[in-house]
Amino acid sequence: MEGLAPPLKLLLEVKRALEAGETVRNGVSQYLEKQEDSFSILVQQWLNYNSQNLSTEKLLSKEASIYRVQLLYLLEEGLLGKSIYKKINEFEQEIEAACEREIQDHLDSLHFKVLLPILFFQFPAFLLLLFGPLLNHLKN
Amino acid sequence: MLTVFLISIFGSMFVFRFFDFLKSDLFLTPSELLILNKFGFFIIFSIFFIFRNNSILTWIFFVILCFLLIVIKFIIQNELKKRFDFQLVFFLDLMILNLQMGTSFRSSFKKSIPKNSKIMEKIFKKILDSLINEIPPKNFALLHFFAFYEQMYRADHTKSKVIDRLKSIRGHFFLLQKLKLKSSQIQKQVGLQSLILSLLYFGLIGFVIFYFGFWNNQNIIMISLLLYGMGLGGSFYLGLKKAWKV
Repeated sequence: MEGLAPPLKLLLEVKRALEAGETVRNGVSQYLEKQEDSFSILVQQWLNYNSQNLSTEKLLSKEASIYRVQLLYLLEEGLLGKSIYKKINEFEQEIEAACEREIQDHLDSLHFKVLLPILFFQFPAFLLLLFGPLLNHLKN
Repeated sequence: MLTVFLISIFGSMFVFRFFDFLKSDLFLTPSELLILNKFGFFIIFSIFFIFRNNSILTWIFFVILCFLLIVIKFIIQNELKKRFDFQLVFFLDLMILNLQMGTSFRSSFKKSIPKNSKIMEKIFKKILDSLINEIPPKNFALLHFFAFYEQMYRADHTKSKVIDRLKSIRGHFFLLQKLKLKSSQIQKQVGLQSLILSLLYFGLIGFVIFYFGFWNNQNIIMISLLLYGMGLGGSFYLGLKKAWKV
């Protein structure tokens, strides 16, 4: 979980652009210049659809994260010229809370997940090291 | 002897590459780099003379040395990032205060450079130089510092509301640190668990070698090491490799 979640990166970039008096499209473009992950590919496609005035509903229906979808719908409003700065600020807190929840969930499930390699690899390695030489010694 | 010489040359290439990294990341001066290079030569020639008749031992030594250097590089970069993040909030606070007093952007930047750490002072000065000369700092080995430079470059070129812009940058870094702190709990948990298990495991290996000998049980030890390594890799993979779902 290195760095920020992709939608939060996009949101912060757009927010920064709006604060600097730039457009939503500028913010999205600057995000695309920096990022090269699966979300940025979707954002690129979404931006292309918007430039061609095509419906993005079908494209966004493939995305599993509701936060990513909602953010792109919100930015769509921004691209149409509506004021979204206030909504972006509220949405930032939502995404931030979701990120914290995800980290906490990952932490909670980690106890079990880390047990698997211990059980299947490290525990046999210990057993082999404990009893292997002993049995070898007794055999000789 | 020729093989050992060739291995030493291979090892020395790795060592000097590491020094080159130190030069760019820690902003070493040429004289400091020269001292380090002399030290590197001394170590490599010492190894060559000590192990000149045993190529296997030279290999083992250089593999361990290379591994250690990679670990040291990782630790240094992490430590630099941590220190930079720690200084950043104070730096931005001070810079905002200076701007509110009516000082210009670059003067405020210069006044706010932290003086308590030489390396941090060098990094911030490097960023300021790049802002003044409008040349992106190419020799930054860490993208982490470059991201901050970019933010400052944009703030420097903002015609109005510079203070608001800086407050926004501060908010951005606050958020980043807050989430990093949370996710570092995962790393700490996996790291600590692996450390304790590894200590126990290598203690056990030592015990086995001491009482039963290495050569009599080399196959068992090697298989066990392989299994343990796979388990360790698996733990880190499951613990740390996590893509965001949000």
